[in-house]
This record gives sequence, structure tokens and C-alpha cells, in this order.
Amino acid sequence: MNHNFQERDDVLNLKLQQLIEEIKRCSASSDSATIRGKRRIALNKLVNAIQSSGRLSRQSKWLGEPNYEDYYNEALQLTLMEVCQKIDEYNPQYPVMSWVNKIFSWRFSDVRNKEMKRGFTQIPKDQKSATVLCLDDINNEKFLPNDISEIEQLKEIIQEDSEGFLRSEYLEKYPQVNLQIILLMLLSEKKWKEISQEFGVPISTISSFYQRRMSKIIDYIQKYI
Amino acid sequence: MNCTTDALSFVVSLSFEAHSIAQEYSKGIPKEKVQQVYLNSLAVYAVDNYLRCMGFNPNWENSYSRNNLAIKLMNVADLEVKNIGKLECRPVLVDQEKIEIPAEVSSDRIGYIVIQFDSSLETAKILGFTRNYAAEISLNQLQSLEDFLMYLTECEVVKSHQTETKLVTVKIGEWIDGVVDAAWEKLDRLLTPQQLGVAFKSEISITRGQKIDLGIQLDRISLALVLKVTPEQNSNEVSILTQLHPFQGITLPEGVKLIISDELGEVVLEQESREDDNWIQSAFDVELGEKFRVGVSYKENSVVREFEF
Repeated sequence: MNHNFQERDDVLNLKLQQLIEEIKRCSASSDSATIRGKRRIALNKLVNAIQSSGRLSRQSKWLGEPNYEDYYNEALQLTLMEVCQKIDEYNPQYPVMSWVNKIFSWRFSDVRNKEMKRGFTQIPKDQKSATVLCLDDINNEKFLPNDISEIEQLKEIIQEDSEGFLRSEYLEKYPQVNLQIILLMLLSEKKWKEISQEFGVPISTISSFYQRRMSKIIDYIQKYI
Repeated sequence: MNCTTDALSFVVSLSFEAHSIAQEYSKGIPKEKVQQVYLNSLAVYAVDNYLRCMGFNPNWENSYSRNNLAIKLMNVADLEVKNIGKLECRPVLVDQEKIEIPAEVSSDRIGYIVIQFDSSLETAKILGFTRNYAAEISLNQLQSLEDFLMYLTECEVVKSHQTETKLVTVKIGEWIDGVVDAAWEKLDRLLTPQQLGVAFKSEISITRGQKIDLGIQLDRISLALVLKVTPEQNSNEVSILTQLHPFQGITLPEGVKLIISDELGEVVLEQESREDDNWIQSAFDVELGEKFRVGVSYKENSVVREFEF
């Protein structure tokens, strides 16, 4: 059995080291887009191979922690980022997964320490500090309260249009299709298709008119919030 | 362990950081849109992570998807990549086979990248991308991540060449003394006789031009940027006429911009080509010692040249 594990690890290590060699061969600062691009593809493959290796540490020392899984995921992401960014520092004397797992345990401690600190200062003791929501939670008002006061305020600002800017910007040849009307329709959950039908103007015309003015709209409305 | 499938993907774990950003931006969003805003945030988070792993330089802070007001006015999941352009990051759920891209993000994007979620929202899987806007795309038509990385790298290399040349200040005072940098050619090498006829009548002035290549692949265009420098009598000023012509063509594409700005990049004059324009131009005076910049842009691509008199 042990022998098989050893062999499997050797095969894995060889594959990972080959990928790292390829990455190092292609310089990140090369003038050639092909070389830089190849480096990135190899880097992406390396991350996939590490994730699917089955040899990532389980960090079992922390298994009893209430937020173990969330710590694990956060630390794993930080680890993969660090592996990518420090890949040129990897020393091929050590197995790739030992290097990766060493970084992983450091990041796990970091994440845990950071969350503990946050937990003490911000979150009541009896409550779980985890904030990872699933799809059902998002649509549950218990987790994300439905607060429409900001949208109502926004509608008032647009309705008011103190400087008349939103009314003055209209679609060429369609003076009735101005920014104020479009904004109010969008904030009332109207779809582009409905807006387009209502005015008899193609979606692409009306939406690109809107997009092109977005930064002006934001600057204008921001003044009144 | 042996992952034999060749299709490249990238899986990002979503934990505290990702979800706390998504929750922060979901505040004040009406319930009909909460899922949209939440998933958009996670999608951009994932791509931001992916790009940083791959050695790109995304600037999420500078994107609409990080603006509390913009996300209320648009279904937007954009991510600015420094010196390259904006990517749109669109979320899909595992049971979806196609993706709808909202009309309000149809322009000003270098590509649309698709990110898949399952109902746990613990991971985000980056699936593939498409360069051009379409209201609806089936997932099996997406281009691979290999293509994506190559494409974005190509954009990055093109842009970095453009920024490198921007740093050279061209001394137009020397032009008047008869010394002209070889990068600026006589017009008969650049324009057809027909173009020359209408563009420049001879005066006591120096006229030089340069071929400008903008963009890559489908968006690629070639233009001739022309500068005419005329010394003003009894004065420390020169008048400058800048023109932008098509290179080996008759009309400019619509939407090409000629932008004159000061030393700090503040725009002073801006001209944009309309349909069937043969050229566009800007004229202005410059004092001795003054610097100015001439920018040429088309769609997301631009180059800038700096001059000093």
C-alpha cells in the first residue's frame, strides 16, 4: 500500500514540476504575447493540477473549529494566489505539494487569527461569525433584509431632476425618450424589451444611448445623495 | 487524481471575503434584484482573483460593479483591467445552458467571461469567454480559457507598446530648424496624392506625419496622424494643425477621436469622426516651452503622442 502511495506521489510531483519548468521557461516579462500567454496557460494548468491532486492538506489540526470549512476555503484561495505569484521562487529540491502545503498552513493560521479577532470585536459571542450564504439564503429576508429606502430616494432625485439635466438629454429624433424617463422605467423593474416596445426604438439604440451617458448620470445623481 | 480532461477551467473558492463584498453591495437593493447583484459581485470577485493569479492587474475599485449607485442603475458586472480595458463577468447557475447578457453592458467591453455557480455558492468556476456582445449565448459556444489568456495577453502587449512610445516627447521646435525625428515622415510617403491635394497647401511651415496602428484583429485600423507647424511672425508662438486621415483608405471609420490635451492630460480639444468623414482636424497655438499631447482613439484603443515646442 505504502509503496503505491509513494509511486502516486512521485508521478504527481513529476507532473507538477514539469508544469513549473514550463512556467519558468516562459518569462512573465517577455515581449512576446505568445510566450507570456503560454506561461499563463501553464500556470492555470498547475493550479488545476494542485486542486485536483488529492494531496492538499486537510488542515486536520483545525477540524474542530466551528468555521473550519470557511477558513479552509479562504486559506486555499490565498494559497493558490501566492503559489502563482511566487512560482519563480519554488525550489525544485522539495516536492511541489510540500511547498504548497507549507504555504497553506501559514495562510490557514492567518485567516483563523484574523477571523477570531473580527469575531471578538464585531460579532456577539453566541453567533456564528461565518457569512457565507447559499443561493436560498440570498433570497431569504432574514439574511438580506429588503430595504427599498435607497431606491425610493433615488427615484425622488430623478423625478425632481433639479438641474433639468436628465430631461435635457434625449434620444435624437425622440424628444420624449429622455434619461429621466428611461431611469424611472428601469428603477420600476421594466426590461429593455418593454422600454423599446413602448417607444418603438430598437433595444440597441436606446441602451447604448443610456450606456454612453452613464458616467454623467452617476456624477449628476451622486451630488444629491 | 488523474485529471485527463483537457478543457481548462479555473475554480475560485468563495469564502468570507467574497461573500462579505457581495453582502455589502446587496444592501439597499430591492429583493427582485438581490440575487442578480449578489451573483454579479461573486462573479467579478472570482475573475478578479483569477486575473491576479494569472499575473494581470485588475482594478476592481475603479469599476461600475464596485459603485453603489451604478449597480442600482445597471445590471453590471464589469472589471477594469489596468491598461487593457473592461471585462464583463457574467454569472450562470449550473442548470443553465445559455446566458443572457444585459443590453446595458453591450459596449465598451473587451470581452465577456462566464462564471458558473452551484447553489452552495462556495465555489465559482470560470468557464470561458466571448469577445463580442450577444444578447444570448449558449455555454457550449464559449471560447476556451486558453483562448482567453492568449487574447488578454495579446491586448496587454499591444497596450504596453503603445504606452512606451507615449513617453517620448517630440520637440517640434527642432522641426522648424530642420531636424525631424525619423519617426515622423514626409507626407508624400504617408498620404495618396489625392489626400494630399485637399489636406495641405504649402506655406512656410513644416508638415510631418506618422502611421498609427490601433487595436488588434477585428478592431484594427491604420491611420495617418499629421502635424503642420507654422511659426507665427514676431511671436513666441507656433500654430499647430493636427489632422487624422485614413492610412490607405478614403474615409475614416465612424467614432475615431482626435484629442488634444495639455501636459497633465487635461483634454483641451476633441474631434470625433462621423460617417464618411475623410479626415478630422484640430488647430491651436502653442507657446514656447509649452507641452501638449495628441491622442488618437478608436473604440477601446488609443495612443498618445507628446510634443514640446
